[in-house]
Amino acid sequence: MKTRKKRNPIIVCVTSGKGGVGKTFLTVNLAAALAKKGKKILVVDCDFGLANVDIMLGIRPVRTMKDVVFGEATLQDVIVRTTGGFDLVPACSGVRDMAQLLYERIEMIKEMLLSLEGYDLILLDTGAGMTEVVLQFNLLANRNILVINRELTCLMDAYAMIKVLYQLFGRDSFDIIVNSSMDEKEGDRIFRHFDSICRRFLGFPLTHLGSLRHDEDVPRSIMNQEILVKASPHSKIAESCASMAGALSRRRA
Amino acid sequence: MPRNQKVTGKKTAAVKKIDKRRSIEKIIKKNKGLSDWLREGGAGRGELLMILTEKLPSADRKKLERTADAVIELGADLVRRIIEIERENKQLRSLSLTDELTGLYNKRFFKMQLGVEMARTKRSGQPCCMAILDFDNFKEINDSLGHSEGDRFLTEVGLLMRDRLRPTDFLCRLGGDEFGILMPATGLVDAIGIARRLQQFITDIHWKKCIVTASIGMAEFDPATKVALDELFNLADIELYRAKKDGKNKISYTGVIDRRIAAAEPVSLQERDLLLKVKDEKPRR
Repeated sequence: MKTRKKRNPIIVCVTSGKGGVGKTFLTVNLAAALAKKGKKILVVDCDFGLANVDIMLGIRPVRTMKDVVFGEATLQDVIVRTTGGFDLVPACSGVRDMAQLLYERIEMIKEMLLSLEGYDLILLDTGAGMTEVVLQFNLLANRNILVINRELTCLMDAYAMIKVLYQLFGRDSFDIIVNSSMDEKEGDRIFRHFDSICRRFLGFPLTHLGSLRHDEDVPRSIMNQEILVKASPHSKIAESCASMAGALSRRRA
Repeated sequence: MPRNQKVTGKKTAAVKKIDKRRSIEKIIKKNKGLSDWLREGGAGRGELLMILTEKLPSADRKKLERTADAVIELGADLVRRIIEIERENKQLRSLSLTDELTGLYNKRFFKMQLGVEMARTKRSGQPCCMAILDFDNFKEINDSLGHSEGDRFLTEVGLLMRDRLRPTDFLCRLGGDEFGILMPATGLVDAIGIARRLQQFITDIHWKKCIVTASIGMAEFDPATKVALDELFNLADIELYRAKKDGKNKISYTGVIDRRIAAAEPVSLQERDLLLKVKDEKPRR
């Protein structure tokens, strides 16, 4: 009963639970790596109230998602082209009531995102925490990426996030990215451990999208407001991002 | 030439009842083959060909008897008997606790058992939940594949659903494509989990390439609120309506606990302890 005439973009939500794990860095660099592969990518900064993506890219957005939610602009109006070769819907900072308003209009935003033409993938960069808005964006997405690292607090928050999404909405498919591991092996080890607990208590396996090793280039690139994948395309980090982008785009549908 | 009417029937309860009616037996006795067949009793099923006719010359009748198990001449008496038997059958059906189509329990049984479970909850304090499940696109199956396929769907999916439930749960067909699930000694949290799994299971069935989904309305019985049997049933029905309105393939519920908290169990200490063990694991070399 499904028609394959119009291909809707795949919506991928990047989340972590705990803040400071590297969601925004990963979203931006994955988007750049995907764009490099010729995909049409849109990044939506979903951290309304505390926006970051624009800063990481060195963009000064004039219009933001706020204008869309308030009905003053269409999604098309606020989309900006970035140096990474992908498009961005910036969010605004310091608007307190955004969250509630957004929650009420989440359906509207979903429809707007799905009706956008010409995109292969839409990456949602959510804020930290387990707020209603974060949950709603996770629910809206076709795929969920969880960014974790070796910190115990981060593992706990990510697991809690998975458990809530599973229990409340029946989500049972998550892609895991292990960030700032010492090496590949440690990334694998953290993933296997995390995966075994999900299998045991929630009854489903996780997918390991990839690992990023700890690298001093990362804070430097953020400081310089550059996209690492673009600035140093032959670095380890850029290679890992490219392989994750490959894995992500291969498994569409 | 008289009008002849062929009637085929199965050797079932209805036929045996005819056996007990003396006046009909008299008619049948003339057909020795048939009366023997009837006397053998209800073991096994067989085809029975009866020919109902108007008054016939005996030569014609003999001819017909060769081709049928019984040739019965229609008369006011016979018609009256048949009506009586039909009435009796109807009464029997109304006393029955199983659904004719699917063989599952029916609505009568559901309400009866719901009363029992509610009383048990009042006495023992153990929770109990009920759910009403309705297929979202059953009409599509009926319209596109025909009613007989619709019936086959209800029967097969009904039985599959029963297998997916716990042995202590009751699955009943309430009518149409509506099913009732009674979950004794089950709190809302677990009941929602069961409903969710059932819903997922249904989504995974591809009936002749049709993707079928179901909406579920649930209600937990809270003895403190003194909700009556029919009220609880209606609460679940209202939740079903809400689930449909929410966009189908949804579960909606009402119960003692807050909706959100009801579904979410926190991360347990056991999960937590194991999760934190990551730091003790030696890196493999």
